[in-house]
Amino acid sequence: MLVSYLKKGDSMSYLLQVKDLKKYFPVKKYFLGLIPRKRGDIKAVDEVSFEIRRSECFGLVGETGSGKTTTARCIVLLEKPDSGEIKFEGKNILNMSRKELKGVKKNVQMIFQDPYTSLNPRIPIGKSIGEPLELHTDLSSREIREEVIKMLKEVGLSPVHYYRYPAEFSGGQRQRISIARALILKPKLIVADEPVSSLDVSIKAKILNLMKSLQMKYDLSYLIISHEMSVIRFISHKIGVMYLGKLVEIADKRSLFENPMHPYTKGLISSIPLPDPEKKMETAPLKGTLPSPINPPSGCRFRTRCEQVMGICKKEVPLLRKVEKDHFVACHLFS
Amino acid sequence: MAKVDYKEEEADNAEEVLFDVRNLKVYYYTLDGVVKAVDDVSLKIYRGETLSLVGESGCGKSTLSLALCRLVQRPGKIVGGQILYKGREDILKYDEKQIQRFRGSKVAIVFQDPTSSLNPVFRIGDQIVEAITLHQMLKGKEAWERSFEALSLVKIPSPEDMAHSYPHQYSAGMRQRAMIALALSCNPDLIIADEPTSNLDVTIQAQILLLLKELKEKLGTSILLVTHDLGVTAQLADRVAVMYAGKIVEIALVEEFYRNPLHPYSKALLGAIPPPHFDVDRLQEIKGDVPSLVDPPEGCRFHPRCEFAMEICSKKDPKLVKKGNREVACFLFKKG
Repeated sequence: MLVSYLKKGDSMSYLLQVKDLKKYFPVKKYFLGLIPRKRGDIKAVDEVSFEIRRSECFGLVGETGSGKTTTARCIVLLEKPDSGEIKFEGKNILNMSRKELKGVKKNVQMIFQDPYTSLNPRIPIGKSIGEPLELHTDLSSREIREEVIKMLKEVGLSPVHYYRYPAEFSGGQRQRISIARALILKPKLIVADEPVSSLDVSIKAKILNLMKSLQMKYDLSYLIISHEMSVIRFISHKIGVMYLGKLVEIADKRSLFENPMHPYTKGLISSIPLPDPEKKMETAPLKGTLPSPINPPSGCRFRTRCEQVMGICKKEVPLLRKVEKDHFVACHLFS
Repeated sequence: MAKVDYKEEEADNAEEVLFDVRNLKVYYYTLDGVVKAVDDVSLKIYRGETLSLVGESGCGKSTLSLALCRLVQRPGKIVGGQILYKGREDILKYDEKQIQRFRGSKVAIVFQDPTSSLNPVFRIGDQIVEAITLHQMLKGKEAWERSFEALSLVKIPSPEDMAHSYPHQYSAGMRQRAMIALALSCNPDLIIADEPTSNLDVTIQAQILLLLKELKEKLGTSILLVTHDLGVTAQLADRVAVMYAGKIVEIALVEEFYRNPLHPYSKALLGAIPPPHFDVDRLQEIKGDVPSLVDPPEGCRFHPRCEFAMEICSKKDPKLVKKGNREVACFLFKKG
């Protein structure tokens, strides 16, 4: 559908290309509590397309329930997409053999939101971090240990932490451990789902700085998901805004923040409470709440909350169109 | 109304001070030792103002707010100090019956998570009516009328219908509105809002912030806003109190605080937040971690992490001193 957007540039400069990704979750209703009947679908991700260049950091923002996490989970194959393509280095990972897939998995790692539940409490963290090496390489256990210790230092922990258990660490340190585990295989892409949202202000700053410097050092690409615009602004080069399972705007960091085009993006940006008492918010930029993803509004999904709604918005689904260089918007105002 | 001139302590009209917390100490007696969550804190809350209590998790801000309505639970205990209400009564000396009458009617709390603080098996209206019948001597139809008023005050559409709905039929933002309505239903003097928006999406957060701002202007209720979000504080507060490891380190008017934070911790905290309105390459880091409150550092509690630490900092505990019309607890600043 979004061919014009995707054909641009040769495919080799892209590390990851997602095309028309779709993931619906069926909602069942039980007749007499026994016989399941399909009632509809939660359209979590609906024809989402974007691409990540090498050593680029792509940020996905949106409200709760906009499908950001499902998109990420599809990319690391924790969910099976209903349709669409996910190309890693030009090859579609959805129809790969297990052997080929192993090579891809080595290059795509994930950092989860909650560092308390994403580490096994019964395994010393050194082992946790080294486990990917056991699976994907044939290093000896001594070499693995050395690698892990190197990585511990890299993320700001010390070798004495090797035999400690997750319970002995604070939230910030645990997130460092998760980062070490994701980095140990020297992947090309790291998918981070809300990596700092459970952390305190001062720890958040440290983790964000760490992620940024590691990105430069290892030439990593990131797919960062967050509901916090400020976090996304700090770390990303390119940003995609999601609303109810659809990407509504993709742009460079600068042009997105300085010249937001989609009414939703505008509302989202002006909803951030600025840490400056002289710039006070006067009116709520967006009224209402997210409509149900089971029965999304026809046409443009944002029309129920949009102030610039027109007749066409109800009838036609707006497509993601190029408006400026590296700036794509899905809104009838710009067609 | 909101901006109270508090340059001269003597000039404080007793009527203007709603709460006067003096040398409050709240400790938790755990197996690991005594956690000094609030340690010798003095603070005034004025009538009609919004005071924001800012700090990272574990600095004692929630404990302090719970202590204001004596809701600290075991193993926690209020071990010292006074909380004077309207300059006269020490609420720490109230008996159980008095404090029950005090809670809800004079002070009400809006908690962070409305989903777990509303009872799922009662209709929203029932829960508001319960508070009203307890505190306002209203019954039946009158109490229900009052609950509709409270719900329409927080802009819940068609309050008559919504009062008869259950919490699960409300969205997250609506639930938080209902919590605020519940808190407002008995016309309290102070509303304690403990992280009222941190579970909400930005767009909903903006709606709730504006609602709180509007209610504050309309009703003149004081608000104690407990938050770690310096953006929320800037939008809503009149004054800011920064807490670190059980102590208040700085109190200032909101404009002055953001323009020129005095305490090194306040400075560091403001530098550590990723700015939403301009680009930076790196964020300022505060070295080290938040200290354990079982065994806090000697002297100034911030000194092991402070860039400007001097010799005296590790020996003596700095007291909160007046500096113009603000207060700061740091040896870098002399009284005056």
